Amino acid sequence: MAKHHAPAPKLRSKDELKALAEAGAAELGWDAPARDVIAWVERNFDLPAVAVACSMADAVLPALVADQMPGVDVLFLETGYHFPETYATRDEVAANLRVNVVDVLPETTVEQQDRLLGKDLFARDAAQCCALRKVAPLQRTLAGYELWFTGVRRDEAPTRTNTPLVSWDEKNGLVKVNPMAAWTFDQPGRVLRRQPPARQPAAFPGLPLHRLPALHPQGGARRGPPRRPLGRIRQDRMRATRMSTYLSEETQVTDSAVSTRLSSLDTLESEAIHIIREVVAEFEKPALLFSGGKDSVVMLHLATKAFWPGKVPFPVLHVDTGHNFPEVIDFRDRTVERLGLKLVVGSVQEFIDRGELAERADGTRNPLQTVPLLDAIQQNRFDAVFGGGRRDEDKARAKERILSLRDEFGQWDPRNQRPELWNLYNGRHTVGQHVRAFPISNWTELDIWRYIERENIELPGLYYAHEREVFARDGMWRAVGEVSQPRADEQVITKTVRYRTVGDMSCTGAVESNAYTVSDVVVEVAASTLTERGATRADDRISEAAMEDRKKDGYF
Amino acid sequence: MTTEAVLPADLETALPTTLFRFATAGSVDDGKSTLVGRLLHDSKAILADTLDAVARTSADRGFGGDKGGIDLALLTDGLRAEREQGITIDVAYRYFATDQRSFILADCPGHVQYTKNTVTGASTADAVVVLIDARKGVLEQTRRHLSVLQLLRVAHVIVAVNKIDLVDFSESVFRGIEADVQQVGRELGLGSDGISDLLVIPVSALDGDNVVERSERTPWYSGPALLEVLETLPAADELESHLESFRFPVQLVIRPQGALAPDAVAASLDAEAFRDYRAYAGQITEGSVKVGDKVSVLTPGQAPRTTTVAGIDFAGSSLEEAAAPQSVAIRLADEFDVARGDTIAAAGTVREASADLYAALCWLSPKPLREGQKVLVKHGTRTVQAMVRSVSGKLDLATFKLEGASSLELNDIGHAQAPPRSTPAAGELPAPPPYRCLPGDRSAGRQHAGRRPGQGPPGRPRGRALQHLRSSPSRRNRRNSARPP
Repeated sequence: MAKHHAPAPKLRSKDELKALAEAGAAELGWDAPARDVIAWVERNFDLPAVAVACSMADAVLPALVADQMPGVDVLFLETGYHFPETYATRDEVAANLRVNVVDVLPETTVEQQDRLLGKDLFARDAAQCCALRKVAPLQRTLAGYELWFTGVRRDEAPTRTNTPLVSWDEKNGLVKVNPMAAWTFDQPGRVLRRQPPARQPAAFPGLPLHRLPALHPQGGARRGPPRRPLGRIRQDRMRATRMSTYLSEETQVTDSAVSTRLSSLDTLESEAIHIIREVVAEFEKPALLFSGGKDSVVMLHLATKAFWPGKVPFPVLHVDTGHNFPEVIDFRDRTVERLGLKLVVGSVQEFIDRGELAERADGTRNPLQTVPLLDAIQQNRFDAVFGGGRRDEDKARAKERILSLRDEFGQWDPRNQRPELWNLYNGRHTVGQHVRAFPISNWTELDIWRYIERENIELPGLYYAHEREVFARDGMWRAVGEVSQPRADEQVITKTVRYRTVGDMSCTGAVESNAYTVSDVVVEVAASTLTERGATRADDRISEAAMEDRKKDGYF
Repeated sequence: MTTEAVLPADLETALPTTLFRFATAGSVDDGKSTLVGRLLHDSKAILADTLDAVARTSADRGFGGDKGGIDLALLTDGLRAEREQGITIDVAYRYFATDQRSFILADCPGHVQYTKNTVTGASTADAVVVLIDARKGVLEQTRRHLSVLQLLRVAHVIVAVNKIDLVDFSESVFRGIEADVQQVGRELGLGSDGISDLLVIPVSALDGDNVVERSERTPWYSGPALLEVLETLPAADELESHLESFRFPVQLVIRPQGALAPDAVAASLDAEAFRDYRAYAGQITEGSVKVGDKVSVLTPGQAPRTTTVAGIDFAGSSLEEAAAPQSVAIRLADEFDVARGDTIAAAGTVREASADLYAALCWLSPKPLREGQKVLVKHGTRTVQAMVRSVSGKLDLATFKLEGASSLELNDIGHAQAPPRSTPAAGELPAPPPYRCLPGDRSAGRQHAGRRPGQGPPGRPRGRALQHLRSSPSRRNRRNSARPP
């Protein structure tokens, strides 16, 4: 088997390649046939400067490219953890196709890595393991090419619906070509299940391309012995980090069940919509707490889906601390107008001006929201209020029911919560009591971001990387503004930051980040080692039970 | 947060993750919170700042003596009272993901007093992990939990025999407990009722044996580690959605008339397009439905009306088919009067309506359930009044026999009959139970709808002890089978 290739020919400059990618994208348009895409590559690139990425889950992409560009390099990520069948596929590809299979090797063998980092790193830290055995070796190898082919298809995931045929791959610094981007594939479950694991390399000579197992988006993940529900030793856990669907011959999941299985985001969305509809059906006067923050934006988006094509049938309520980011207030107003909603605002400033609330010594206004909130609920006779609280945010939130009863004083009694079985929610309450409803209780921060990406939901710009004057306090970056001025010993610098939460300016910190787009944020959140509140909320750090105390008092 | 690896998009596999919900239950001091902490810790679901806080508190309390270990239980005990007392009072929900799945974990309390919270946590679970202290074996609370799980028709029950390190990894101790568990399972029908399965695993939550990785210290155990099981078990919906008949409790009617969403107006060139729009919104609780399917609309006091599905809408898109647990809006071919509380079901799969409800239940209110008591029955999306005609008995946890009783106290499991109050003249239950026969209730000739009680709100007006009897409206209707009294 060929090892790393001989030094690649001198490569053209990045600017030149970038221009070429743009020209190619323009020439080929949105859905040129794969043959034309490959022909364009053939016209514009020398064979040694071109690579095909292949998981050996399938052989369609190498077969396609080799047909027009015989002798092309095919990169195989040799993690050392593949199923024997995957290696067999690789060998058959090498033997039967006119390609040059290049094993992309990590720095260390499995044995060396075990010695250095301990055995079975994949099980303990999949991210690190993948970085060492897949990502870094691939990046190193790609540096020797001008262009790479991948087998990405737009119908594989909602996040891939915008995959171009030809683009500039900024991360790896070369042209990326997805000749199969426009291909579709219906009923993946069915084909996948019909495909005997060992047959795929031999299968492709006679079969039309669209029948090849390669068309399964991740066929390789399922190669190998049939999965058993229990007792299976996982030899190849690194092979597919997102692989989650469970297919077992023994459990007799039928094709229809396979085709209707929901993703975790769909399941969460469905649950949230059910909750929103229940509350609207069972309560007289619900309202949705809307701050312009990402959780409330997602909640409002879910509400629009729940009642389509009707309007969202309740007003939104915002407690304005008077220290909100102006961008967020602007976003709030635009959103409310766009959806034709009624906005009710409770103002902390007004309570302070009237002398009913006193500014705190630390200047933080988040804890002051409770009184105006309860006042607005009472004044407007809201009997149910939707909140964007998530159980992954805090230990006290992790305990709260989806429908949570508040007494006349808005207080939560954590020791005496009602049973809440299945998807039945008990909204019964007496006059003066109200209910807080948390439709996105079961979402994590990462779920929220993936959903924002998938649904293309607009957020205030603060959530994405931008330059800002900040100073360090309490281990966080605080924005310089009217309400948060640096002390004499705190130095102001300009940093590229973004916000993970957008609460009160006086106590919300920014994090250093280069996440300029929603996909960047998804990656960043997935890799983060700090909780959202721990990273950005000074007021939750006050004590172990900070959130519980505030919730008992009627805070969200 | 999750432990998912970050990869360039092209290296990611394309199928999105599915969701798996599981709960943990056990007696006090079985080390449940430690097990949960271990799962979260070893699967890297604990983020740095949380771990720091827990390490600080552990050190403050001198946990682990001089070695300065981490009290993993602190990761889940979220309430002040819980940390002070060192017990779990209410369900704590935790979230983590592996390369296989996204998990929702409901960490339930062990104390008998908080059984209602355990029921809450277990009701939505695809699997429940019951802990047993290897030194103590099967206790009454274990038997109670297993009975409740049988009642809830939890699909997968995993018994983790914990603290196996404290019995020197003894195979004979484990085998003894395993045999006891299987015996309880047989008596309850757990694992042999065609609904659930039952698995026993030796673990040490403190040291991590057989939690994430298989342990070398239990060579006599050849089965999978706990996380392996959780990663591979099929979720309840995956098991069932193709087995069951379509059931769709109507939550509300979407009939916007003038009040159209601005984006719906914008998307449609014809402002009149939605003038007569009428769809029934709800979440599919069982089975699946296709456009053109024949369905029955079930309304209390009326014979089922049959029509066909004209459309399945979801937020601006039309679907050809949908399955549990999707939330959708369904349009029907005929203009029936359909309202919240009605059920749309696959035609020809509905049993005869009945005014009688015979329920196996776990009573969750501090006020006992008595004969003659008025209760509320929440049934799908409908809530009706009913009166308890008779309490037929209560389960003796030692023998699992039903013994005579005229009332059920907090946490009792028993059987009761509750015909609805203000029964319609026709003598029908306001909402005919749209349930189908399950293997488990073949022998019973009555209507069983698996009603289970919840607790009414505290401090009811006028001191009336109205309780909520809640039905299982969902896919969990597989749990409808009643047990012979």
